[in-house]
Amino acid sequence: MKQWVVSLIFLVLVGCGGGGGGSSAPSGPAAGSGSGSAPTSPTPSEPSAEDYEAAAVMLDLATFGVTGESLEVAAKIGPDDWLDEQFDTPPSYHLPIVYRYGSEYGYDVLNGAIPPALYRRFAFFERAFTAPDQLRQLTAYALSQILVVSDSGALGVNPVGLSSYYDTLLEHSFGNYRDLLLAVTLHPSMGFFLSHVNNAKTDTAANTFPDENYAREVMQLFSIGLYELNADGSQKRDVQGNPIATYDNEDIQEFAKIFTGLAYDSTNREPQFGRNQPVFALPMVMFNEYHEPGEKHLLNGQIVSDGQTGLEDIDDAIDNLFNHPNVGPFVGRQLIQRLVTSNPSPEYIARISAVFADNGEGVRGDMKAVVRAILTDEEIADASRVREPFRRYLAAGRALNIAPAEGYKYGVTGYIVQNLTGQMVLTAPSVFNFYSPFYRPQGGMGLISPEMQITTEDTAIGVTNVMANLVYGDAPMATHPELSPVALNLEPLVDLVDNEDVFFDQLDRLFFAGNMSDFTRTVLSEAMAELSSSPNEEKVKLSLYLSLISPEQAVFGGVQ
Amino acid sequence: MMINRRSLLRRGAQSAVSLGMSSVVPFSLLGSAGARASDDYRAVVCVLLAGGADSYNILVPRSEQAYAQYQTRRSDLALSRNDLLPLEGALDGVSFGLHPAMSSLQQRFNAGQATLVTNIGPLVEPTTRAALETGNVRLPLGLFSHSDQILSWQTATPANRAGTGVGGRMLDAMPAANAGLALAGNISLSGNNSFQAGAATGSYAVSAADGVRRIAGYENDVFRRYFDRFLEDPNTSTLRRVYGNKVQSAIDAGDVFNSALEGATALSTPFSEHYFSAAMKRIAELMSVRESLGVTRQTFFVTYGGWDHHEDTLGQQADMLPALDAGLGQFQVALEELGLSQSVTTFTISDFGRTLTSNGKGSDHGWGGNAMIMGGAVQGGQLYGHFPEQVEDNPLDVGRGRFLPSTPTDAMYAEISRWMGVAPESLGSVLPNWANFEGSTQGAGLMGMLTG
Repeated sequence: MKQWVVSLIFLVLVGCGGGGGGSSAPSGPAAGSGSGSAPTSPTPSEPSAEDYEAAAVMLDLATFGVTGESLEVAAKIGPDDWLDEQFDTPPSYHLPIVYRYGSEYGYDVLNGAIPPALYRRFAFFERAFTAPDQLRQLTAYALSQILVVSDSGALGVNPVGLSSYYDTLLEHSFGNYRDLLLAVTLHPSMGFFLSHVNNAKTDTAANTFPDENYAREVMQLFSIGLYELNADGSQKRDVQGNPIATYDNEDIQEFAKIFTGLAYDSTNREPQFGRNQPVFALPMVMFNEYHEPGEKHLLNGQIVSDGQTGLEDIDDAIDNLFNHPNVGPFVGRQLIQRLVTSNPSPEYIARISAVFADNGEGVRGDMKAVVRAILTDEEIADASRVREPFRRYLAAGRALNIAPAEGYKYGVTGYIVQNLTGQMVLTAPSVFNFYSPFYRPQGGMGLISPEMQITTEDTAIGVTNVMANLVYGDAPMATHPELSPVALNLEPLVDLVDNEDVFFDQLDRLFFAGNMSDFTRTVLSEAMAELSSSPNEEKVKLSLYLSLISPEQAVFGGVQ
Repeated sequence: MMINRRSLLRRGAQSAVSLGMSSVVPFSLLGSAGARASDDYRAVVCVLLAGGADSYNILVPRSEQAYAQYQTRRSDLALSRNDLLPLEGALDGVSFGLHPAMSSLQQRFNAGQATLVTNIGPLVEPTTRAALETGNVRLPLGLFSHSDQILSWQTATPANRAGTGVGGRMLDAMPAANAGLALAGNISLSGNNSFQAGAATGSYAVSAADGVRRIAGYENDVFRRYFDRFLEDPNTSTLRRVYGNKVQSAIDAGDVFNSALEGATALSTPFSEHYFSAAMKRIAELMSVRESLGVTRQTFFVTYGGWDHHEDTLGQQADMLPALDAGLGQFQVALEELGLSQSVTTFTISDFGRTLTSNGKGSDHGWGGNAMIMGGAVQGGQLYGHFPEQVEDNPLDVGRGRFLPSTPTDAMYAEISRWMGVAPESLGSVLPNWANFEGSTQGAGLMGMLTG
């Protein structure tokens, strides 16, 4: 891993002329896509403490991290209006940032030049830290852990592949799951990652058969899962009490035939089946002469007839999966786990399944309705979820106004958090994501906690070191300071520190969803007392550091 | 560095009490006092080739007719016969060769220190294709699925998800083996895994690149004091306790490891810089301080991933196998340097073998495959199990050259468990399905793979 990081740095430094381009202004996180900054509707009175707490919960769940400003806005307008505004905020895409860096450093990306892979990291962090469409960015992030692609092979080298894929998730985050499933199926990054690009029909002379990879994972992971489910997420059982498989290997081979004939598009010449140069910013195109002929058997006895085009076959197959009753509980449960709680009750899952099946206007798969239902469910009061280490880093960065240090023109890379915790967006070890949605940690009384699967002795210390690095800028921990030194703005907190109650209230709302225990408050107060003669900034840093490493902050919700 | 044993003990006791359990501690950090004699040491290293390695291109028939069958079935995935590295001897009258990247394995095999178990995979009970087709047999959950078969291989309980793995249960069955830092019994270079999960023993995760991580940053003592304070919260929740205990045990055990590692042998054996070699080097270093840690039976777990070669199988194997072969070979040399070559057995597992037939670019998910085993105790120079004839009408072929395993994983694990010192009467607790194969031809052909 280290070798790889170092060689990437080399690539960037060499590729960018050692950073000596000089003339450009520092490109700190810019304001999102220029539009949609949430306007606030006037309210007659100042928000109450309860308003702030409600805002803190919603922002904790629905953004990459609470900020002082967003807290003021959400407390004024209330969580419901805040959600409405988020749904109406236009998407802030990632690919334009890749192109922006590309043009700044002389890569003609639109004509096939491959810019440094780092640019997709700059794009992600710029959006995560500053984009106004936080709920959409977060929903896409949650989806990126269900419809997984990762930075292997060409996707680890060319930033266009992953940024374009993320943009596809963003585009459909509040759309329809059926459109999302089709767009993901046709996206060249998925075609590369699960090898259905250049997947050819059966060739009996050569003794070759359609690639089964995508056929299997689109069913197992992206839509229906392995076993028949009830709407509340529980497994259906046969008469012997065994779970009922949703498909068998013959179904896999039938769906493998469906996903034949796709190849990369081309920007500057006639596309060819089997050509090797990936074009990542355009959907894959169908070559019907390489598509498996004949009828194909889908699930539930449905058959696609002979003579359809390849894209018609894919359309039918996506419909077949999308309309399977498993999709609501299967995808819904995982979205609840990513956004709210690790052990949703069957009733919570059933409520989300019902919204997935019908948004109230007869539409199935409406993601806006699903996300809204997940984030406004009554069970949020009982939620418990170990926070992802990566999101702890993002939330701390947002609350503390993280930005590239003065004089540095590159964006944030995320290498520190990745090296120390093993987590970083779109870097899962495989299509099975960073963790299983069913992982039960030892000593957890049978509770599911996916995030504990990546919490080892190594990463448990790693994440505390991430926080030390962030707050104290500890030089030995900054593995590559030349790349991503960051600056924080602690002034808003320093201004509050003289009034301990007010200061702790703000820490509470920024990091504890307004639910900090008296116990934690007492411990923080003891620590502050040790620094009574120190400068206020040191007091702020110690309180921040201790807040960010505390088990209370590491776990959202204290019920389970 | 101070070793905070009191704290270790306190945590163990506290978590048991706070979980409301009187006798079952999730895992105890410290066993009873008193280390065992140092010459009584054995360890296994489980190398997970995550993704499902195409092991029918790692072990390839070389005899003329068998190679011709191989070539026909594999079509564009076939290796050239001339490139194969010959293995001495024969299995069922067929001679074999290894992938050209596997020269260390070839050398160790021919020197009698390595072998492969052929067409091995998860089974619940003796299984035929006929029984499979009539549904008249218990089968592993989620056949051909990555997430299921990777668990089946690690747990050897393919029909249920008991939550424990083979390595964890092996150490559970030898409670007296690790008198010192019990947490050091199972050491993972690749994070949490199912192989090392035991009912009574946990595992300890070390970074392959950075070893045992230390608390860094500003004012360690402040961290320690206040982290301890946080853990005193009387009203904390289960997940917060699980999380907090993980951090606390990481800190405490980290002290013990770091203190022990100050006495680690500086290995003169050269290791290459690849991640897998770095991990194997860490393992050798950790083995060199086994006495300081007070352990006599250990399992190590390391994942080398990226073997799901639906595409470009030949190219990707040519890229990835050299690092596997180098890491295994370098590790064996290091063990000789440490005087541990007879005491350590290394083996590979993978999600599954793959289809013999091609999808035009690579191969798809299969079932049985070939596992590699290396070490001084291995009775190498010969292959074990039964290699399936690579013809279309082989009754073991359940489609496209997916082979029903001739040998259950339990057979290999039984050999390893017995060699590690699991008593015959305890074998059932390690391998609950092994008794199902008694008197069956499936699994009978393996005894004697490990000696000493």
